[in-house]
Amino acid sequence: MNGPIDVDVSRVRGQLWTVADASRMVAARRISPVELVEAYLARIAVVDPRLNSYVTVLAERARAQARCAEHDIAAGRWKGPLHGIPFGVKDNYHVAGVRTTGGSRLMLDHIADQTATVIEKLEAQGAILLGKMNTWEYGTGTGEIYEDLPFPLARNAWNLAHFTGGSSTGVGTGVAAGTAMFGLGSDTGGSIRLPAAATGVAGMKATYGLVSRAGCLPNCWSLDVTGPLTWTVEDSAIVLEGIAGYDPRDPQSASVPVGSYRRGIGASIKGLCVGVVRDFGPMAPALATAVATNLERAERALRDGGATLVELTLPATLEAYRHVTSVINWGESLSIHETDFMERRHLMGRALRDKMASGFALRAVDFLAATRMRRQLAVATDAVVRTCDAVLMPCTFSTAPPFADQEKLVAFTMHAATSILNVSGHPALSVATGFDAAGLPTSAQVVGRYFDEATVYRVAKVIEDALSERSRRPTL
Amino acid sequence: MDRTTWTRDEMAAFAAAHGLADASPEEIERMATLAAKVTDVGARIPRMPAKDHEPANTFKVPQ
Repeated sequence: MNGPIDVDVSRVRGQLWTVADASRMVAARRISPVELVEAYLARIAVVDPRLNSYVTVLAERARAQARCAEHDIAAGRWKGPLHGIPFGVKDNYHVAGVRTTGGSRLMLDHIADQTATVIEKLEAQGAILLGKMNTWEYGTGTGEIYEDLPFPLARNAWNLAHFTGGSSTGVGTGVAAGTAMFGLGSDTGGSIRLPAAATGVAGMKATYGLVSRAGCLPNCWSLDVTGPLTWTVEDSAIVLEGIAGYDPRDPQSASVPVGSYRRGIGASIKGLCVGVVRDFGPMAPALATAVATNLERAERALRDGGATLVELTLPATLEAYRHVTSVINWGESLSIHETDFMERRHLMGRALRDKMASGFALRAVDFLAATRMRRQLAVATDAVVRTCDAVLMPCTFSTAPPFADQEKLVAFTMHAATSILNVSGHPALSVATGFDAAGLPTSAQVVGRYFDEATVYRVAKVIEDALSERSRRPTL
Repeated sequence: MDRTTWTRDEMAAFAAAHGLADASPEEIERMATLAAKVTDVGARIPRMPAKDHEPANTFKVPQ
């Protein structure tokens, strides 16, 4: 039945939707994209002055797109599960005609003349961009807070005195708080999964090359991955289906078929082999009690679901993986920002300036040693991952620390098991596993074989259903 | 020579030689600290045993 949809924003205001639920409602014409967008804009107006999840809200652009979506859907032209769904992006994705800051004073007046491929894809499917979300400068940071960036710090929706994880700082907390139904971030050493872990959302770093990075500010070309942060595992699969695929604009884009990532959602895991990694070397910190307890509960959930769990050992320590990513990142990042470092470094925040100075002192042979080691580690890690259908390991070793504790902020960021999968390129999802005694989310990481994101989602969904309390939302 | 130690003068000379003649003493101090860490981490990357082990970013012709 075609025709106008009744618009009554009060019906949806205050509701926090999943993409899957909202999509069903939109398709059935029980809610309209205009209602959804107005509800999210209202939510942003109420909570974002405290949360700082957005750098730029594109209210009028979103309203115009919502009216178009409503018109199309009313005319029987529903485009699929993302039609009419409001989302946000880290402010390192370009949108033509809109400011891209990268969280940097270097770019405060930069109006983009191109749109990121993944945003073009989402908008072609009818998704509605609400705005650009907070980020560390050019995705750079160790966790230490210097208060020297141009926008106020994003704050954790579960406790505003706590860290959001970085560098996609606004995206994780925005999805948790309901200022975006889903968001896109980018991940060089953990910058999707760390905010996801800190704020209890699902953060997917897909296989390197599966999702286009064209039209996004680079941080480190050979490690950068773009991807979704969502409230649920199913939502992540829906969004990944919408953005994955070969892009000739991205030189590292993989020419592989895009799978149906939702196909395993809700399917049995009986008979699957899931590896478990516990040992990250002598320099890795111990897991916080709640993180460890909930990781054990995740293992139990997988066993109860019929999976066989086996112990796995990675080919190197966490420290060895991190050294490789650090050296590659220092070198590539300085190459990206060299002119700005030489001429305008006074505009950079300390974290970015430190990274530039690190690249400045880096020897070419050390950089090449790191990339040679990267290839070997990727092959060796893949040999381990391939012995199972999926792998379970920690994501962060603690819950989100308070802003006041600089040492813990750095430990949360630098001693996470995330960079391993940037080195190897495997898909890795941060999935919520519950909460600690203070009400802060805990997380685990599910890793898959190259381009087998469907199995990652299948396994993560079992953990989510058993542990992650998706009905529990931050109170703001 | 201890590879992980950079004096302020060494760093100032290195920076100037590579185009950073205007760096302040505070910047030079910080750069020296970071350079020591970079040198240390760089030295910790194992060297590949064979000369034909290629870097991960070896060039491929566009397909």
